[in-house]
Amino acid sequence: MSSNNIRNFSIIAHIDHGKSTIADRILELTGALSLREMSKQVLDSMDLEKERGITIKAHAVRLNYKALDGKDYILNLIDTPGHVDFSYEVSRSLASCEGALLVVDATQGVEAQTLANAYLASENHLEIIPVINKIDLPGAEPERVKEQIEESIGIDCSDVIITSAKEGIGIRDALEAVVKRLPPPKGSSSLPLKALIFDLWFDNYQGVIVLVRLFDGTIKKGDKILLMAVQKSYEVLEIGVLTPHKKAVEELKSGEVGYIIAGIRNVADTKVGDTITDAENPTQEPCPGYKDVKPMVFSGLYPTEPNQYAELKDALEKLKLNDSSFSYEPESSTALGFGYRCGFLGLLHMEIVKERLEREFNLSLLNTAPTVVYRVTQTDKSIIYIDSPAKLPQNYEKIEEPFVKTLIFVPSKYIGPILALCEEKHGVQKEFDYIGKERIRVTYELPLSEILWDFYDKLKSSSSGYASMDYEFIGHRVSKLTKLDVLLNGEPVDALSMIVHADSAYLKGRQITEKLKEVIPRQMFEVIIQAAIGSKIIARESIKAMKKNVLAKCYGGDITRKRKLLEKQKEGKRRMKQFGRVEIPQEAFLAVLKVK
Amino acid sequence: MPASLYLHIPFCLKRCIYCDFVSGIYEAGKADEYISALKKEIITIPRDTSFSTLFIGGGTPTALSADVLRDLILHIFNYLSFTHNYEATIEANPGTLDKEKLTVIREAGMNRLSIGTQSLNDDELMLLGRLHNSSDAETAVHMAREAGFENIGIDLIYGIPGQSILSWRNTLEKAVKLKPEHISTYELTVEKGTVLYSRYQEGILKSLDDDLIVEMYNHTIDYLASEGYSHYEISNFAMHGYSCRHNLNYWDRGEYHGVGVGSHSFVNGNRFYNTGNLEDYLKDVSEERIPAAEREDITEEKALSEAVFLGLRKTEGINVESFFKRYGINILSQYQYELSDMQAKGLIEITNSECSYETNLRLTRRGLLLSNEVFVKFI
Repeated sequence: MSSNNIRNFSIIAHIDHGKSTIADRILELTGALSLREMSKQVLDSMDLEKERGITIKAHAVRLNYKALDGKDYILNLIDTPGHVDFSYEVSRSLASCEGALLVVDATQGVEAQTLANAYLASENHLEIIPVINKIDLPGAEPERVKEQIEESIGIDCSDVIITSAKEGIGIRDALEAVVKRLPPPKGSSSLPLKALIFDLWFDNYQGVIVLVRLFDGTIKKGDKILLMAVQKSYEVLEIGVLTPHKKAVEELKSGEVGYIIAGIRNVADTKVGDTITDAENPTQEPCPGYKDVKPMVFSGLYPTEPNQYAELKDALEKLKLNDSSFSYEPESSTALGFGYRCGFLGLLHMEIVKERLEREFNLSLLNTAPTVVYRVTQTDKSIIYIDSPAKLPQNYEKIEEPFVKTLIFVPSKYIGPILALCEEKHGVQKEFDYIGKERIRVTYELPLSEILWDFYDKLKSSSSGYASMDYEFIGHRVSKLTKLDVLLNGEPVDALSMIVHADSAYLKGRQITEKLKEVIPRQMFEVIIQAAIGSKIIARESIKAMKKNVLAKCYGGDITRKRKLLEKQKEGKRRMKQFGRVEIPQEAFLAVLKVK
Repeated sequence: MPASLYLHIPFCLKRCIYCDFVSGIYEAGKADEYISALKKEIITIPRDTSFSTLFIGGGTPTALSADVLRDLILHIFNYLSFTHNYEATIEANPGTLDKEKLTVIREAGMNRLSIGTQSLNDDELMLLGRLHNSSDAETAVHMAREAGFENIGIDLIYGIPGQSILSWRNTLEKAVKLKPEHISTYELTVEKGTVLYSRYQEGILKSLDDDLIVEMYNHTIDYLASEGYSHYEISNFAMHGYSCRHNLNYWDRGEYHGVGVGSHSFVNGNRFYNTGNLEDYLKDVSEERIPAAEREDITEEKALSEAVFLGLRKTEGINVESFFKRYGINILSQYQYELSDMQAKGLIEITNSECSYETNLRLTRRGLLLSNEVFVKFI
């Protein structure tokens, strides 16, 4: 088939605006899957993705479509991850397309991720087709949403597509628009191979499987390929397309999307955004936009039972085969014993990794409060990056923390509390515009550490759920920071230390000691909790000694009940970490998150 | 070794606010139906079993009429065989007793009465939702003596919301004046699903401070000792020779058969218990099915942990020699590390360490109050 009959597109949307449901309807309509084969929302295939309703990995599916003009088309639908943690992967998926369906909920209107995704699509020179979805809902206001799209994104909405994915309305119109309004892929099959990797995963039998979009050239089984960024060569063992089942093909040509299996044993040897070319006849220039993504958020992962350390190591190695975007290195803590310092793309990514480790490898894990990566200039002018408060040297010249540019989209009546929140979090306002009469787009530069904790929840609660946000990393900047230590009965607990803004250190010290007093159970002796900056104690609380813990009652012959009560207590103790004589529950290590 | 028999009567005239035992409101028709089922279940017990103790508990067994009680008790003694010096206890609520009922019970063969006195302060009794006042409770003891009971136990509760140390002392003193052979003192515990639980949740009632409860407990031990009651288990006190043999059998892991709704059995090293649902129980028995809801095989490991946490409930503790003979384990060497840690914390002590026959492992006074902290080390 000529590349004139190929269309490569994505669906982009704010969370819950109906992206996955539209994808499902498209699959159904093009007959890619029978209804029976389709469990709900097939593109989100990982269990976790289904539970959370968020696409974590990119996916692609090749569809055959007979358009109203009577011609047959190949449509490659490339799904994109739906969370800011994975924005680089989103950008590479979009770079593999010529256009995108921008789905907006007819009742909710434009949201922050609508804007962020639309900007990302424009940066990648994509043709955007606006789609107003959920038209069946009683509160649908398509006219108002049209205006919003025109005003905020500046795309013409005179021929906007109106859909209800739930009811199956307008799906054919959307596909017709893809065929008519999106350009076919450019590029030439006679040029040297140039293919962009936009997703990859590990298969136990076949090794790494990469998903690519060919911009030039062709690829066949037996070809020798070169991965340009990592400079490694492999022989192609199999190529094919996803329908969404894997289906091997003879050849992929310029403009097409498909998978490559080349006996790559290690996901670390392949990077999303890298370019695959012909090893003997390489392309002059790789695809633009390649970045080596670095973890932004770090946290210690410890087995709750010390004897699970080896199992955790094994699990991390195995999981890393599937997800090269997280990192881990051994770390030890006086409070927690042996564990790993792990790096993640963001908080959601952290939760996902922890959940997968626990679920798929049957581990019970404890994670310490997440922290960002600080850049520290030492007294000898050398620069180190630290991902844990424990690594902060005693003396240093300056300390810089990562900042993000945060885009917030909010109905104007809630702007007051949102601005107050950003100021409280040490934000600096950069832009402020009205979009129409009722909505405001505001951008702030904020320390990443400030938005890690409870920023999103607060944003939601101070706007009755209407505000939405998106953010991107913009670099490290100098801040007035200090290390806050927590001491239990005079001994510092390294896993509870944190780096905080100097002007809120006292407040945080007080809050952390109060919080710990709530979560640490009474022990057989008094426990003194102190917060300190250097050698100076700034807050103190104490937990009175436990005086009694006894089952007075006689339950007749019900010994089982007595034993179960004791087993429950034992289980509670097992989940605690022994620090000196003090037993600390897991919640204590996350208590630092709860301070404002 | 002769076994014990427990019979459960799941009826009360009124439910107390703290109670989470299997019991409902008394209704004559339902009670008759239940007693027939009980009698049917009793005859499923192998006839060659020898019993040395019987305990009819509840609920409120004395909510039943004198005739029904006589019929039931005679059925037990007719069908099953008891050792000549058997102990047969029935629980009684002072609000359900009269001279005639007590005489009938005594004459039918019961020889021990456990009276749910709970408090001898009328405000506290009302708060707990009891049927009776303090003078009813005192009268009950006198009537029981007249009916011929020579072994009377009184149950008391401390840690009642609003209770002061003074009021608890008062209750204890009044109780001692009645000269019961046995006194049990239980700390009021809050169980989910009870009225008490929701009153705490709603903040209408407040639990007492731990320090006060500890003071009450310590006072109980000291005061009752001064009155000649020996403290033989965490919550139990008795005049010499009047320890409750039925309960001691639980703590010694002896065999027992439980009959009736929600009752527990421990036979041939297995624990099992009957359904706690009255309707299910009646249906099972009428259809000749065993009303057991669940059975639990006691592994060696479980047996060992039970032996420790039950044995240590007794103030004499665990005799190292007999423990070794029964379980094949020298508890002192097996748990050396844990024991020395707990000794250092003042929770346990080892008596007479030079002679193993007389060496006992037991809880200290502090250890009694923190006994769960000790027991979990053996779970």
